[in-house]
Amino acid sequence: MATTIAPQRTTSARVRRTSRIGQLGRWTFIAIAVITQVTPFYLALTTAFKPITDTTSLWLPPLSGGTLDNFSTAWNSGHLEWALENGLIVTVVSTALTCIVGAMAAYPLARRSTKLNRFVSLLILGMLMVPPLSILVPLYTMLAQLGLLNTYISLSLVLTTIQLPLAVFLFTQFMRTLPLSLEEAAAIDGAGLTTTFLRIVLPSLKPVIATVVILTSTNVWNEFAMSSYILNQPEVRTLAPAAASFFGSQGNNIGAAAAAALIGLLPILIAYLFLQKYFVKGALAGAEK
Amino acid sequence: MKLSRNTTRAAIAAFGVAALLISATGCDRGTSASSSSEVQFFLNGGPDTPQYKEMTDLIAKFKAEKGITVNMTAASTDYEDQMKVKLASGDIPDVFTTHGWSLLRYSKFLEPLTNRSWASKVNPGLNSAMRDSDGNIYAFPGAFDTAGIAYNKDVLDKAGIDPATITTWDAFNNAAAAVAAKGSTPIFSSGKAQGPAGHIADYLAADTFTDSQLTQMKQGTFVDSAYAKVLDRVKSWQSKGWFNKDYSSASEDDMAHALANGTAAFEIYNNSILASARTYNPNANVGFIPLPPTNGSTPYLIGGEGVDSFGVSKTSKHKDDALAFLDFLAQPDNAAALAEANGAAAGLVNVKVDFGKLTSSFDKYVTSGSTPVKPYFDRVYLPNGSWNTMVATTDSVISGQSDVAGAVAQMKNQFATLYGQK
Repeated sequence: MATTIAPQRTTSARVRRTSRIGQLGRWTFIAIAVITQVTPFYLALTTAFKPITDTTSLWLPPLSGGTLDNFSTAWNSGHLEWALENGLIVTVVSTALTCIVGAMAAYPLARRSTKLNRFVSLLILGMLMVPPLSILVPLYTMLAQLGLLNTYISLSLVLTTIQLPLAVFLFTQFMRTLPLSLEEAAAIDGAGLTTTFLRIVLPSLKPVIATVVILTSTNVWNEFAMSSYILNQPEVRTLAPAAASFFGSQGNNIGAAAAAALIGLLPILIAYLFLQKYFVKGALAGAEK
Repeated sequence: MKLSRNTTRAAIAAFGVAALLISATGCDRGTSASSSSEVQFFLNGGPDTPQYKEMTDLIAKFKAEKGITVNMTAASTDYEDQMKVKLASGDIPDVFTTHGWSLLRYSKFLEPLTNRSWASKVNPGLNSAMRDSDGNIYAFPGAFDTAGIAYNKDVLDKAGIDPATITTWDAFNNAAAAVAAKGSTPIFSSGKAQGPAGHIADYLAADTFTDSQLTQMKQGTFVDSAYAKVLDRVKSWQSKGWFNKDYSSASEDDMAHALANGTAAFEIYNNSILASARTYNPNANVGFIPLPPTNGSTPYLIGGEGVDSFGVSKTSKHKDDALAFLDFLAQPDNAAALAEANGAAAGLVNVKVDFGKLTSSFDKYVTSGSTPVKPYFDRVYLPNGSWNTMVATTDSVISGQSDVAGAVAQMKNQFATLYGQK
């Protein structure tokens, strides 16, 4: 009896030990990931609440008492109240346009597998490889000639164009997984192409729409390069260029820049808290079949 | 069916929201370009800088006096890139900061200002950088940018060094060794900022080349033996461990902090670093001295067109208003306010500037006019585009990634390439 139980105990002890080691490894990995994510925010907080004359290490909290001066500098000198509003307008418009135009463009590409459509799909995919700044000069010239510089519509259209290739790709891939039978049934019931798209296809796209909304809105909200060229007047500047304006050739105001970044983070944080389940679902949607 | 209706409504609502957001915010911001009757002014400087604040006040004063509206837009670290795009696309502001390049880079886009009343008052020290061979000037110099060796006097006092006695490189090296012996950093610079290393080579090169070698450089022959002397000096400091240990990761702000906190003795950089150090520590005991000579016999400063210099586009539709604005800035009181905001000497000789706690250094070396001022080496003797290589090669010597011969060879290749493109 004893000879048969002993190996079982040894095996279960080994399994428990292996499981404990595995758990330890998982927790270590999670801890490293959390620290990596949290550290920049910690540094931004310590910097934003320190007066400019506090030259202690960035890692230390404001030991001589915190200050809100950096936030008032960021808000007043950086015109953050405008920047937040401008960022919101450009983000909502670009995201809405990307979703609508992206879904409409993807529908024929997913459903009609012609040579031309395959070529167009590849062309759209290829546009992902074009660095946006490589077309800056002709684009800027065109906008200047049209008198559209420093207008919301110009940046919204440019950013929509930049975001569209990825959106079209995601929509196309997702639509190909939808059963054709639904659309065939709609056709038998007399639905036209537009009706089928709006009433049958579009409602089925909810998961991928969530993905596109998340990707597009965060990309547009954080976009810096194009925004700084196209909207460079303080009244229309978006958030990232407004925060970056505290870095200059004649010296930096890191405290104000950190404060601006934290203020800019708030809308995303609030949106995330309220829409958490949609964000998680949307982020996972691309992985589902 | 209910779901389908909702989706259709959602799509229509999304379009509606997009349209509403654009139209609702209409009238004032983001729906139309600036008024065509305003003078468009593009400034190099962030909204929190003293220059920006001073310029905002001056623009308001100008409007009250002349009734002309100046619409100021500013960019900071990406100013140069933005300006290049504006020039390439033909969307050139009526007035813009020339940041040291009014002659070499921007003169073909700028209205000559030689006939303006203030042009005869431009400090002669700026002639080589700002006037062409016919004596034409293309920008109003809001600042006479001077640079030498910035120091923290408290650190030097502890090492028993009087900065005024550093008039030779031997004296500088002795001072650096004494500072190192006391545990402080003799020379602080920044590899991360992609600039300060280039300043070191630029300042040293200004007095390392002989006149005949400078002529060769202007004619397109890179004199590698002279450039090697520049980097040899840098290498000798590097091999003695006199640069800050965190050189590669240190930022320009760290340079200002090091001077402000008294952890470093010297920084070979633009005098604006002194103003930054004062921002972090208003009581910092800092100043500057001229650079010891290599070929010449007297210490010298580096000087030239500062970042606060402004030109008028020759294609401007509001040229008269733009020129009136520059004339307004050039009035002695206004020019003094601008120079003080920039922490630099004035570009006009009839302007008196209050340098605050840096007055003794400025009075001794700049205002008195006793110290010769040499132009920035790269602006006069290197083809446009050489700066990045100058920074990278000096950086590679300081960080020990390259020897002097390799760095000189890289510089020579880039010189030949860029000179061939001229």
